[in-house]
Amino acid sequence: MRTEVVILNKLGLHARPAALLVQATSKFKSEIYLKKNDMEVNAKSILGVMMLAAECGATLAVSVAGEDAEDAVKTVVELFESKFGEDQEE
Amino acid sequence: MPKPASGKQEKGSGRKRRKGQLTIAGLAASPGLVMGKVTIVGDGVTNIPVRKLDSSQVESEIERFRHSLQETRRQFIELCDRLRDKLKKESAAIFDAHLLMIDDVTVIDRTITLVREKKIGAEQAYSMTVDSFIKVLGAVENDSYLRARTADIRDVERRVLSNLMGLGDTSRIKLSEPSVLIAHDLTPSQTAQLDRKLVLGCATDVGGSTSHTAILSRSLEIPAVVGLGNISAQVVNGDQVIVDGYLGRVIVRPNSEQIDRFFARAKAFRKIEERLAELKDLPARTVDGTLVELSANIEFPSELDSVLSHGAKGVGLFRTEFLYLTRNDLPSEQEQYEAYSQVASRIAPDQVIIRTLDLGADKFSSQIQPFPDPNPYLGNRAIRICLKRKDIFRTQLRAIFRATAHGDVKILLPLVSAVEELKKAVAFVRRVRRELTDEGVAMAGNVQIGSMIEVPSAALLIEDFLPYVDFISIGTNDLIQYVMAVDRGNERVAHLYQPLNPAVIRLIGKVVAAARENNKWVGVCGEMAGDPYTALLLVGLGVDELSTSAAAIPRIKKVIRSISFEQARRIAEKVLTLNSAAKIKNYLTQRIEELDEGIIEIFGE
Repeated sequence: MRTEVVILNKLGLHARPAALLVQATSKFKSEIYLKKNDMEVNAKSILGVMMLAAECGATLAVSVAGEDAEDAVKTVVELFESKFGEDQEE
Repeated sequence: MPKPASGKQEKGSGRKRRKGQLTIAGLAASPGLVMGKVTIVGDGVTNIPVRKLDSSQVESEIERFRHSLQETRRQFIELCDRLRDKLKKESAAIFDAHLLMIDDVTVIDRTITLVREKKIGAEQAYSMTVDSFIKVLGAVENDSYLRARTADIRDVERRVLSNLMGLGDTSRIKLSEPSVLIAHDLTPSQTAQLDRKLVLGCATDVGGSTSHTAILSRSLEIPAVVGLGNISAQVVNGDQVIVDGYLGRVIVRPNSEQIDRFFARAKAFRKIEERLAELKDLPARTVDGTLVELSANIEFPSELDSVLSHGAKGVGLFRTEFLYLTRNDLPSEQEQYEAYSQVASRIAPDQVIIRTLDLGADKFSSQIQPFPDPNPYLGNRAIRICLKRKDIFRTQLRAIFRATAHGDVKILLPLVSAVEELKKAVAFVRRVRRELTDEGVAMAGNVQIGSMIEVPSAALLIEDFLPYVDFISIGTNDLIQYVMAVDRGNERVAHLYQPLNPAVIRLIGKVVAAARENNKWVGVCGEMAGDPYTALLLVGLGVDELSTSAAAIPRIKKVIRSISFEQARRIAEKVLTLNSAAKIKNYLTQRIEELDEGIIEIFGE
């Protein structure tokens, strides 16, 4: 399965959102990959996700393969849409 | 590759330093009172071993790698638990990132692939993998978040590598000015390499008062406080601190009032030390004429100056591990012979008791064992290693026997736990002696062989041990930890490490009584010999010799010279009937108050 997500939180995909994303994706059996420009990384690898250095406004391609792919895609999209719970604080 | 351990170290960004004054209580590890500037010391992973593996070693190397990740994860969760209360929720998520880095699939897979394909050691493979990630992250423009994360990645890398490498591989701590060292922990080999002129004092997050770091600080006469929780996260380089090795506390960024008090107390302590120094050339004899052999524990021949200036009679314990720990290969017979004979001839006509190699537990040498035991205090250590590695044992014994030509040298075997083991070890010692006799090497006519009594099984079987030895030496540090089932280095259970527990005292009483009955002399070489309360008790139980750090000798001598043997004997007799450590401590305190007034201040508190 393939989809696209846009980074909405101001600070981009820094350490904390990256950690939340990896914690979420690690719960699934499916293989989950994120791609920005030419760089494709394993979404279950914190260093991989951080290496994307995805800033606010960037678009990422998400590709998921496996038995629970549908749920995985849903979870990933929701995380990005919720801005990782960041901007509404304070 | 990681940078040298000295100097600045970026900590996880979740911890905020407090700016004001702060007093942190820990355990007094080495006496003394100093004030100075902080240098923070890291975990000290610098030289990553470069190894080529055989095909047959690949799978076990991968297993070892996975095990070290698991271990790192466990340590990290413990750290998080300790810090949890102090952290805001958001900061805690940054620590989650640390855990995710330990478990990072890409890193793990790449490391394993490197081990498999290139047949290199896990340390090198892991370090190469992490470096390649850091390179990419470093190339990301203007991203302060990611740059800060590389410090976290290095932190994780350091932890994993130090688990992979065990405790033996640590860096030399380099200092440019006199400093107080603050660290999460100092390994024995780090401590062993400290420069006394530049290290004013030490303070560590972990450790008990009898950890080897504490013992080493005492022998180097560097004031130290251990078990301080998270002091390494509370200071930065250059902070002013006062290390109080008497009361076991550290004052961080002291205010002017505290600084005034520091100078006043330091002056008072100097006065006491001066008065004790007057006892230097007097014998350790009780009021009613019983002589106690009061000797010093040493690790290095260079400590002899201090031994002699503190008025010790002989060396009751020469720990030989540091000949092995401060280097990357094994010491030769000739090098060891030179070290041993130097001590023997300088201390003559007094004795030196050389303990054979006591590696293992917290003194780990990667030359002898590639990686640490899962449960090192109960693992392959001391005589157990020596009986398996007879080549190493023989080299040391040959060096010791050759040194007997230069003074009164005795041999002490560590950690013996069974009669057959003792018989085997003693037979081997005699065999090495015969070899040297056949070669026509000069040696003393009679060399006494003794056994450490530090495992409960040896203490319980003391009557069966005695026929095979000329003397025994009770190693109270290990004995207490094995009797109480308490890891003496673990600050969370350190309160259960009770020298005055009746189980400990009665067991020692039994051992001493048996030795005296069989006309074998008995010494005590643990920290109990250097504590005024327990030293008094040991004299009363009938111990012939007390061996402790040189710095503690004057006050123990003062205690011995202040009582009669009869008094001490009666005190010990009563103590053997008491059933708790608290009651024993209470009783000793009362009796001591009745003694000569001049001695009270030695007991402190």
